[in-house]
Amino acid sequence: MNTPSKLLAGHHRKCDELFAAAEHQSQDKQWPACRASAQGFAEELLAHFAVEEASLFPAFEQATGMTAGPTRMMRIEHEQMRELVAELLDAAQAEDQERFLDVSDTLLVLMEQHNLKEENVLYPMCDQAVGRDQALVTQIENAVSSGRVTQ
Amino acid sequence: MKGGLNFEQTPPLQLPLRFFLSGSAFGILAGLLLAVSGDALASRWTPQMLALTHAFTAGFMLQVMCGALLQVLPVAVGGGVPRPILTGGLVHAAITLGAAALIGGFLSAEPTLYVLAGLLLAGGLVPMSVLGVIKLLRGGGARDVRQGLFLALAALFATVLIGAAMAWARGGWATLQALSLHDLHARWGLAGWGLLLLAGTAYQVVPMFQLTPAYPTWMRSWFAPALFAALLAGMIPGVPGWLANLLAAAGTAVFALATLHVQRQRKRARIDSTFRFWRTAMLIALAAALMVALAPWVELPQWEIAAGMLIMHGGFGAVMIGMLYKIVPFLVWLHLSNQGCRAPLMNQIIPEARMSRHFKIHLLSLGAALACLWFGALAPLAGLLVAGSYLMLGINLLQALRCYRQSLGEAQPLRRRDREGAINPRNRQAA
Repeated sequence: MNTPSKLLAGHHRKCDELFAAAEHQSQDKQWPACRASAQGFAEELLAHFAVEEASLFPAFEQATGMTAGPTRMMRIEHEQMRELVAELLDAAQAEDQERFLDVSDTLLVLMEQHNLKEENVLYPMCDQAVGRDQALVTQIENAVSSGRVTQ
Repeated sequence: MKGGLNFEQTPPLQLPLRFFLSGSAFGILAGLLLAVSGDALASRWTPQMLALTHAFTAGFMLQVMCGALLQVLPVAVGGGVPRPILTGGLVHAAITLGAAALIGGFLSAEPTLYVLAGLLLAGGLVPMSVLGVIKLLRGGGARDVRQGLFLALAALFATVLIGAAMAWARGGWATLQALSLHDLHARWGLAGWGLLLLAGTAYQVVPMFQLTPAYPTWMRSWFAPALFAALLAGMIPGVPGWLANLLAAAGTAVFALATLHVQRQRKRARIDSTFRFWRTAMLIALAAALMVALAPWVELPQWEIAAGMLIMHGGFGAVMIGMLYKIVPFLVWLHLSNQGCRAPLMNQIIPEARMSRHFKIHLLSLGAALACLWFGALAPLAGLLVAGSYLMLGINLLQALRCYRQSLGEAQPLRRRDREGAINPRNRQAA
């Protein structure tokens, strides 16, 4: 059976792939391809945040009563990443290679250390607290497979 | 596990930076000691060489590793040591003064300094390793990560106790027989604490910086326990020193090869200074492991010292500099962002061109340090180059700190306005 941690950690890797492709293409100044990859990356990443914030985190908070702990921190980091993703898309639009690579460098470290904290600590806690909630797992499945959030 | 991943548990920026800057200062000292070493380079055991070696290990490496550990614990297990500012401050003071006393002891042969060094280093590191171990046992997080950190701390514990016993023997507080434990001390310190902490960190940061696949599962599960068991086996009476060294060298080679292997499969095309430092360090580690393995059959007096320079300055030195160049700019960025400031991007905090220049100087200094073993007249130049490399590190870290303070200062009026009810600049979009 799928668990939140398996689905979401797998989706992190999918986002990584798209990110790496966009960065590669910006290095080669293949701007149309870079814009498409960056757009795809942004859609996947934002869908990932959305399902976490709309479904997983509230379920976890309700089950454990922990509203000010890890989920608060993750929400703040999501917000920080949203800003950088917007800057990344702007740089791709403007075909500004230096800016794109500067933003991507910071975004990568922020994103990967965020993923690490989720995969090492938060997701295992979620699996334990709400991993058997089939409706929740289905919502996550839909979000990570389509890049959209189902309500 | 409750309450992990809180801002409150992220140590303030100044705490890790204090360790990293002191580490750079000890690196500079090591270079200066090399510059004035003269005939002392003839053997591992001259007082100046022991002072130089410990400026690297108990000075530079220990500082960077302790600073990094305090930073890594909350990310890896969801919680750091209790009261990080106080704990970190005490550990920092103890190991800084302890390493300085030890180096002073070697240079002056003053018994009081040896005694003091043992007390300070053990007094700072034993409680830190115990607190760390308690956190690891109680905390959550991935099993392989906790296991690696746990064994690294156990190795630190062994290194410090053996080292303190040796310092006390020199200070007249313990039997002189303790001095025969030098190889055990070096193995627990470098292959134990050093390599185990590096491996535990590498599993996290190598995939993160370069988007490589994860290290193989067998490695993450078995490398640390196997290396630890090999180090324990080296303590059994009757096991020859060359065999124990060979096992430690084999462990180093396995780690270096695994790292090079995952790095070859990286998804990220971009090659930056951190990556160059890492890859070079792994190639150097392979060469050093080979030299250690061959040592019993090589008669050259310089062989062991050259291997030591490769391990410390070439391997650990390079890998730590490479990591600091990613971690420190990121911490500056993160701390500024978390305080609602408009943070400059990482490459604006320490520009890539400066790191790239440093990489070249570091390699040059390693080459010169090796060359001066055979051409003694080069020692002053080599020493200055080594000192120059750690000076560049210190300057770049200070530049990051300056950037942090500047951005914070510029943001003050905005934050005041924010408190008075204006819109928080970070929430503009949401608003």
